[in-house]
Amino acid sequence: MRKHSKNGDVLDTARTILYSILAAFLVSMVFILALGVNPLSAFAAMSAGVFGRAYGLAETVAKATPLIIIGLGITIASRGGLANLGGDGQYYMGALSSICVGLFLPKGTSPMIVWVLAFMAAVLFGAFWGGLAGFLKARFHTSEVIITIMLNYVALYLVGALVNGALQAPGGIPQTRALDKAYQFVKLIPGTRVHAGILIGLVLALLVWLLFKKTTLGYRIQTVGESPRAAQYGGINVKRYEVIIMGLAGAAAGIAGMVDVYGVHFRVLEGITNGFGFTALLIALLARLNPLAVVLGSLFISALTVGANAMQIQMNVPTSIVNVVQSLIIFFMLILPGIRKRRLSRRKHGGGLAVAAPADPQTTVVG
Amino acid sequence: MIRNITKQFGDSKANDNVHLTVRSGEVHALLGENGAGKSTLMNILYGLYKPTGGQIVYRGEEVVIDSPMKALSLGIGMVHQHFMLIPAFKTWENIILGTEGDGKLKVDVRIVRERILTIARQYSLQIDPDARISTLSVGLQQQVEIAKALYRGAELLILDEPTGVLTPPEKAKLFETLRSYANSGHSVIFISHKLDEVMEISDRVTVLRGGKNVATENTADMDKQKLARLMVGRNVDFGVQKDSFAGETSQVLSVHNLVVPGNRLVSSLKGVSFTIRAGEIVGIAGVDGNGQAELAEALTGLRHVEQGEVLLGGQNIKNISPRRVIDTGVALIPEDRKSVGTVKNYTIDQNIILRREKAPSASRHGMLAYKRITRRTDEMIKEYDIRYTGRYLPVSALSGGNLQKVILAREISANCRLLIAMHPTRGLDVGAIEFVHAKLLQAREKGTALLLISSELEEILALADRVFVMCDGRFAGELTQRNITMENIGMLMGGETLAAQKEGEADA
Repeated sequence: MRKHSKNGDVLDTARTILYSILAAFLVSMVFILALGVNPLSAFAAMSAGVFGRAYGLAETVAKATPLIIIGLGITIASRGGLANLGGDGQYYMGALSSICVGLFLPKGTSPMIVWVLAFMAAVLFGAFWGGLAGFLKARFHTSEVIITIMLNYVALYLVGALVNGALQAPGGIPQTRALDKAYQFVKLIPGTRVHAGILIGLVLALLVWLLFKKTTLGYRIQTVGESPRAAQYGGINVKRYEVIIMGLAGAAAGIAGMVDVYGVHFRVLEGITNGFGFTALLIALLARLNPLAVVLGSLFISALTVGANAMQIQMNVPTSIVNVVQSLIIFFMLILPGIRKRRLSRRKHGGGLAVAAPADPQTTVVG
Repeated sequence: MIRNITKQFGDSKANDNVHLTVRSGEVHALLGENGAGKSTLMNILYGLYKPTGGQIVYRGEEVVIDSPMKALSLGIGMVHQHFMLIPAFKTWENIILGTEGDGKLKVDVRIVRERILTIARQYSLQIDPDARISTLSVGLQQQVEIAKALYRGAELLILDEPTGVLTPPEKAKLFETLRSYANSGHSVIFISHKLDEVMEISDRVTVLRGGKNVATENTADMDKQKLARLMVGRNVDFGVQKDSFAGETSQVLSVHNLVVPGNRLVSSLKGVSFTIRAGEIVGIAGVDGNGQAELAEALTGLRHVEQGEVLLGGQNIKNISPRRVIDTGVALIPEDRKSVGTVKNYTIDQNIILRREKAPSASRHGMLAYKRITRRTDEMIKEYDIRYTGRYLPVSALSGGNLQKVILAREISANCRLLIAMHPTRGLDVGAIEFVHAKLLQAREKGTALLLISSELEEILALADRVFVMCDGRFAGELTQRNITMENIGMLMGGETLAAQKEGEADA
């Protein structure tokens, strides 16, 4: 329903994101300088690491896959006014349930059946893990922020207990057995880690975009997020929707876990998420909760990571500099709209600013 | 005292070269519609806004008021429309807030209490220094606000729409206080858009329209009609044309002995019964907070009903989900049009389908039908004369009147059997009020049953066929036909019973 006249907003948003990224890179140059390295050659090594070789691009896509899918879930949650900080836990639940499907179905089951069942298991368990936080919020007014973070630990230690116990593969390493070769996702580009999962990610992005663009379900979710009181007046059962919204967010993260297990790791072990949940939150924020922009944002962030690896090898700059860049991007995205508004109103009011203009409401994703 | 004040917000001038002179010993009314710039001007005087241009001259000297602190130190006090009191604190604690101890660590409660009581006696305020604010009625809280300003030595008192929340007796009490305050040589600026009050209390009146001065006159030289013309810029028709209600149509809503728990533990609806017929407007008058909001919520499924019966056309709608209430044909114009009635970041289209997103006019099989939505919205914009700056901008850009038109369009056009309207014209300007009233009467003519909840007595008088006065969760009385007068409603609001009705309907 957002047609013309919204274009200005879109441009504004794009400009903010671009400036934030530029500013983040500029500031991070100081840190690189402090390490005694020429920042420009560090950045050159970075971009060469991504764009200079097929492997770099492929790796970027592979790493972006789980981020896209978790980020889409977070987009749904945030549009519904809820913060999902439990991406990692839900991812673990999806990974764990889907590997069980792959390991325990009788040998020789058709791969298609395994994939479908694994996918459903991941959706179910992820949705349960997310929906639980939604249910507790609806029922007992507990903060979904705290609950989702705490459930991350529950899932992490559950995985730890299982890969050290019931599900441990022979050999003493804390990990599960590997999936049968037949069940592993096909590689889209042989010799790289790009697998069929990216297609799932792209299809989901399209579906989430349609959800908010076209469906009454999306309309309701958004209404709950915009104004719970108006939603209630509008006949929407807000409490039920809190469960649905968190369930959808959890389902997405669960799918990401399944996709990673069947496409990249072929087994479950501790530490397979590496903080994807929080990175995806950052991406959803960067993408201003636009599902299609989540895809771009994920590619961008994972390119940074891939490039940082190359930079570390060639220039001896630690990869953690990427974390600095990521944090700075968010930092600038939060403050730039405020600075712009102040400057605009200064110009208009000739300094008369007794009442500060409110910052762009969309910049607060974590509530 | 105020000279050539200009205040610009963005491209629009909220105050454009406004003059205002207030003499000592007078009650000066500042009259104007919403958006005329009254509040802006007073916020400048109180140091909350910085003027874009112009000067303030106070007691012959040019002053710069850049904070409320500065205003207070000059002797300018303000009682805001929404009280600035801390409910958990006692009265005296609230009164000395910000001046406590004057730099000393210990507050001498005895002296404070004495000073408060002296002020209260002097201006006939009803103050108990040890009463907790949360236990006080709205009227008494306002007295505390006034005492707070006087305690700080205010010699010019600004009151922003002070009577909206008061019962008629409380209003009379307030006017008495203001009069004695002015008589002791101080000044009052009384902001209002109610003509009756301005005529009653003020010595002189300044009228603003569209951010500009229209006139400053002695109130004695004016009458209601003249003031209205100055305020609106055209002749205003005070009466609403309406046929009397025949009373022989079918019964639409029947409520019997409704008991509903409130937000506190005590029940807030303590057994009310009434019926509404098709094409009838039943008015619920009363001071806010006596159970009106709970009544509307209970009828629309938003609040759990503990006891009693709610039938819509013979069908039970008690404690069914809000969605099903909507589907049975109950429309609601909520009290809070900004955060309940509409979603501020949504466009007009998106707001028009609120509550109706599943209807065939908005969607099919869960997919939104944009073409149909746009076409329907276009029709409504035309029929309801909704004025917007951008068709696809969020409705937060709409004025209050236009926002209310969006809600009206959505609710009335839904072919409703029962329309509940809560304070449908609160805060609207005269033109918008006329429009809303016309639309409500139009719905009545079509046979909709209307429940009009309002604290504006004029509105109830103009529209309602039957009136119940609500007081403390009960109906203090029912008024019909010729009985519906300002005096009768006022008496019932204040908790008295009508002499003529004492035996008969007082407990209806």
